[in-house]
Amino acid sequence: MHLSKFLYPTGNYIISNNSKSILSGPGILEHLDKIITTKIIGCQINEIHDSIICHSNGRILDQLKIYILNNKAIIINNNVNGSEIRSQLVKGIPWNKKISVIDGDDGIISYRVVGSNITKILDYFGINIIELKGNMWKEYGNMIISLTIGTDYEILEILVPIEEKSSIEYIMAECNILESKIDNWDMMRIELGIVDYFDINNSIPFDVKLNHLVKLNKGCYPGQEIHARLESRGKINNTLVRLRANSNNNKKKFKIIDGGKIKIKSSYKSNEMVISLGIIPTKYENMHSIETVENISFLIEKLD
Amino acid sequence: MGLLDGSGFSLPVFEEVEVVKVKINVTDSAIDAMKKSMQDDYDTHVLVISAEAGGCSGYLYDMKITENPNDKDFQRIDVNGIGILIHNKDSSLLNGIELDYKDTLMGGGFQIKNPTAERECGCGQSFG
Repeated sequence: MHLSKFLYPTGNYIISNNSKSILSGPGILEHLDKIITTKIIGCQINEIHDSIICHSNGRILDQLKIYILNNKAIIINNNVNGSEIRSQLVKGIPWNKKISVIDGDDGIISYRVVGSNITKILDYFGINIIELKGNMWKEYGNMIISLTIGTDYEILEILVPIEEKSSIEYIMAECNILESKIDNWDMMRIELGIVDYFDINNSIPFDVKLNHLVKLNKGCYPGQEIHARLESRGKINNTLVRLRANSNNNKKKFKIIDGGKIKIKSSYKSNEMVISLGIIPTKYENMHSIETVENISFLIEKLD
Repeated sequence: MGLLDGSGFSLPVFEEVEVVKVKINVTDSAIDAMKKSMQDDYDTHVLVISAEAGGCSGYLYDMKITENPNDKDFQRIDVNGIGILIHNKDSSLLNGIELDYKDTLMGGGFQIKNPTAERECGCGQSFG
């Protein structure tokens, strides 16, 4: 997949449609640790911690990106769930802990920058890309900058106080980085295999390639009992793949001729092709294509 | 003004909780165990039972013997001279619980049965 197919010469940015919450007070990591699926105790200031928060039935409520500050954490998740995540964080605060949760949705803007030359903007900030590797964030003025590295891509994530929106957009323009429309972003992320909320919502983490965010040796968290049972019984039957089909069919579910179902999670259309991220039974993951009862043939592309 | 000092953000989020007058049931074996644990500190110390985030089902029970916090947000229940406190924010979650004590090597200790819990995890420490 060549990024240049989609990008303005240096890169593109998108204003992320996500929710921001600020958790502050002593003991916030211990509090979070009891709720999320990963072990956050022991993480250091300036680290970024990726995790999931699940319902007690083991299905994903949302994926979180947690920026760790001194006695504070900025939590980024999908905007659909902002209030619910904040509610979950507030409800279980112990009576003897002074922890507060603040709604940052109106105070922070989140930018994602993708491109062939995103280091240009880092040069502007005076940050060497190496400083952002290893899940670390850096500050530039009032901004928080981090890097997400995938197999075929690097994304800069920039959190900015809303008052500085025009300043960061001026810097982007200076660096030849232009705003991308949401449709372009969907196209880019599906091609690059970047999962979004709608790909994982209400799924079991193992079915959407988020096994690495489930730590069964960290102790209890909501959904842990279900995850442990699925894992120990080897009941991990599905996986997330990219699918290409020569059809404009808008259906979300298809029956596979050889048994099982395809669940389409997100798609974009390009000419006569529909390219999607979807969940299929794991046994088909290494096949070239699958045929459905609906007479549609899907080409399968395994995600790393 | 900035992200790092948190200025410029909205006020903290508060979750409305229903406050109910708490009634709990404490078994004789739990009373005996509490007496042993508290020794002669009945006048100054209390047992706080609370619900925290976590566990397989969403909430974890917690019990602490602590100096009386003298906080008006707690409800006090006196059982044979021992003060048991439950915070108002936990009152609807913990109303109606039965506190028991099992003197066994495996799975022993204080146990809470909660008739209002919609679900409980296998270990009995988590509910939702």
